[in-house]
Amino acid sequence: MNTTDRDDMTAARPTIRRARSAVLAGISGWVPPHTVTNADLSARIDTSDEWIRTRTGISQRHRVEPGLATRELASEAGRLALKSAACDQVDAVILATTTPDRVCPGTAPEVAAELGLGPVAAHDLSAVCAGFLYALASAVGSIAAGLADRVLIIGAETFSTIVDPMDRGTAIIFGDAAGAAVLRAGDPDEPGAIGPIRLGSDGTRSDLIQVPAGGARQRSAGTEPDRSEYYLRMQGRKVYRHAKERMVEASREVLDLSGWRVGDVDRFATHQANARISEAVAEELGVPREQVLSNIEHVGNTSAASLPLLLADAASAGQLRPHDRLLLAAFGAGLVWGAATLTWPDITALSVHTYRD
Amino acid sequence: MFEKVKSILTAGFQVPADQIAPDSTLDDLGLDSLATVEFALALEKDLGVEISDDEVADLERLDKITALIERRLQIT
Repeated sequence: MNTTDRDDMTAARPTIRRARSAVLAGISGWVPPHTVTNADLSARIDTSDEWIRTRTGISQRHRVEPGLATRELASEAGRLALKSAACDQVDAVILATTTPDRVCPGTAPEVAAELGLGPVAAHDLSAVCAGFLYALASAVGSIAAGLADRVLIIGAETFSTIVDPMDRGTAIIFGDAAGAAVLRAGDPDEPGAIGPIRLGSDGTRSDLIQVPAGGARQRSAGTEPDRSEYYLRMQGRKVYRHAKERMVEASREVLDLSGWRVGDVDRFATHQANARISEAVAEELGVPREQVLSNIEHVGNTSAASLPLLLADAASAGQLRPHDRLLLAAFGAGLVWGAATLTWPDITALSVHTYRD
Repeated sequence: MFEKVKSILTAGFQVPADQIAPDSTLDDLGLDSLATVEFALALEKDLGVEISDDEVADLERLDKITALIERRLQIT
């Protein structure tokens, strides 16, 4: 290559584009109507309303009726998020779920079809309770790289299909739900622009929360799994410790990257795993209790659906207002975790549920 | 050391001092499984000792937990 060529290349280079950010344009939550109260659970397993409330902060969770699965939940939330964003087309759909309708294929293409989005890119993402933040990071990346101008991200879960209804450690915690968000290309300095995101994982602790059977590991072993191995197993005490430490660490990192001090945070939204984990994380960070958003009482732990559902509920209830500085954190099986910041935009959140008081 | 452990329980876990005896178990003092994790974390942070929530939960009794902490601190 000679000098002239190099000059030509320089001349041909397009003017530097303004940094392109992903901006939150719509948010939604959808919860199936069937409610399971603590009293319902106490009738079938050795537990009580008081025991469940003091240890988890949960008073009810929801489950799908037989025959419904993740596709329907994801589609309901997706439709609402598109409506919230006043948008009828996106370039990609990312569905974060631990409970896809089948091992193969992914559920996202069916959701895209059900939403009438045509032949758009669509795939599932598996990061359990941190799934929404991983999907968010993926959407931000796609938009920043120019692969897409608008992305629909959905967290949808039917944990009722993988939780042993007789396991008092998990049956009290998990619920079915979906939440979704639309991201569009925009400017980094406008409200709703997704700020720094930190994600992490620790695969040496994959045993802390897992469904042992149903995947290649079990199939390859060639042994007949016990029925119990198709259910979620969780070592609650260990999970608590790692969840607290990792969410605190990731939160501090994104606060630093955002140039925010803890005192700058108006609202803190954590994955709704257990009210006591959220309280412990907020306390360790120094975020006052009244700034911590919570809806776990009504929905339990809804895994990947948890954060968008929480944000939709909080915004609908007026607890999250335009220009509020928001810190997000999540943690789940994997282990996986993440945190992110954004300034809340002026959008109309849509949340459909039948919570009982 | 027992007094230090006791003060962690009274200050951080709202356990009345007169309820705390060497042979008290964490269950006696009203600490459930998640509070046990917080207790282990507090011991590590305040006393500078490595002790896991499993160890704290398995030992159960305060005198046994205190003995382990003392052994660990002497070794290091």
